[in-house]
Amino acid sequence: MTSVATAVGANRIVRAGRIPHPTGDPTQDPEHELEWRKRVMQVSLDALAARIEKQTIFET
Amino acid sequence: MSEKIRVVHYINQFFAGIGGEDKADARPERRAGAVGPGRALQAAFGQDAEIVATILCGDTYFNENADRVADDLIAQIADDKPDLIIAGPAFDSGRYGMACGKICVVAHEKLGIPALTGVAPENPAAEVYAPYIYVVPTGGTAAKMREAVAPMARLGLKLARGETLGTPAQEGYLPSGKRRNVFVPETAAKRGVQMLLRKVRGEPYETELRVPTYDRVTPANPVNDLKHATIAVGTEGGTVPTGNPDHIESVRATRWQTYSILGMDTLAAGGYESAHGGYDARFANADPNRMVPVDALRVLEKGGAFAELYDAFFSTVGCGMPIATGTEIGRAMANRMKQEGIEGIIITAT
Repeated sequence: MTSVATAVGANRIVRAGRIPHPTGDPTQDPEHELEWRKRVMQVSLDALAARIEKQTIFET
Repeated sequence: MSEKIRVVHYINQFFAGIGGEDKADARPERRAGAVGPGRALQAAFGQDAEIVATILCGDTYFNENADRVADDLIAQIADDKPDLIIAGPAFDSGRYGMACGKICVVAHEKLGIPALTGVAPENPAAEVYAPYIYVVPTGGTAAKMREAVAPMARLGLKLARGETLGTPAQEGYLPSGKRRNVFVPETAAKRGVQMLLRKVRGEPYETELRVPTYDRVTPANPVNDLKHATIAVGTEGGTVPTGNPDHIESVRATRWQTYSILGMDTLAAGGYESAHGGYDARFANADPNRMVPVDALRVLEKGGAFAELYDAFFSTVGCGMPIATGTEIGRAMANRMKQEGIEGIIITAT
């Protein structure tokens, strides 16, 4: 759900999970879900450290 | 002949004739009858309403003590039994506009009476208070007093009589963002096509749904060195300790909180719940890390991806929140982050 974040003007946007669980994926077993979540967080940290000139969507 | 509508009017020190900026610390005061611009307002009311009292305060003093002054002034006019409160017009004066908005909100809350003010559309008070009270757009300066007072008086009378209002454009006030169901004979498809045709022909048309405009903000500088940075995590998904001890509202929240994660490797299921009224909370309640990913961040912290996870998470409910409130909360959170030396925050959004 990056469309709302884009519309309201967030500059560093990470494409993650679904609305009710942005950093979760209930379809995976807990171990894989945590691995996935770590990846989303690593991308988020990279986004914080990235120099950007305009709104940017970071893919996971 | 019905009784005259009783009006209380709020003005600042300048319009009360006390003085300019040098008197902006004037203390709050109640005077009987109409004062200053109140006389123009009274003339516009004619025989239909009477300004029974005027309350006033210096702009600086008001804004530095807003809650207390507003409560005090509204308490002073309870015995005047007003049917309506009008503040200003404040034109483009920021502090005066904010005082007018505040006094209207408190009067409406405490006395249950309709409240309206007039400010220039670019006055910050317009954006802040239009969702809560009636705000009539005015010109930028007191030279536009007469043009401002007439629509304020007209709308004030309608409100005091409890008449049903038309659209903001028809009634002459700024849109509050409220929606009301109406019956129209034609379907949305037909109305949409008609609107499009009018647009193509260069004819005037009015949208039925104004899309909110949002500020554009220059991207913040990146975090310099993650290896030495304190990073926070937060959410607008309404994650709170079970029982929602701080009563964060499920919609149109006005509150935000931080909750300690000191020494925690994960947000334990059962310890947290979602206070958010706008999504199915089962998944996040079953595992709160799906909303506030403390477990993953702890692993990355231990692995040296960044120096330190701030020892509390930020939380509010971003559901039906007016932009003005969101801006206020965002600013307050940013201030806290600065005080605490937090260099970056990851906020999850639902």
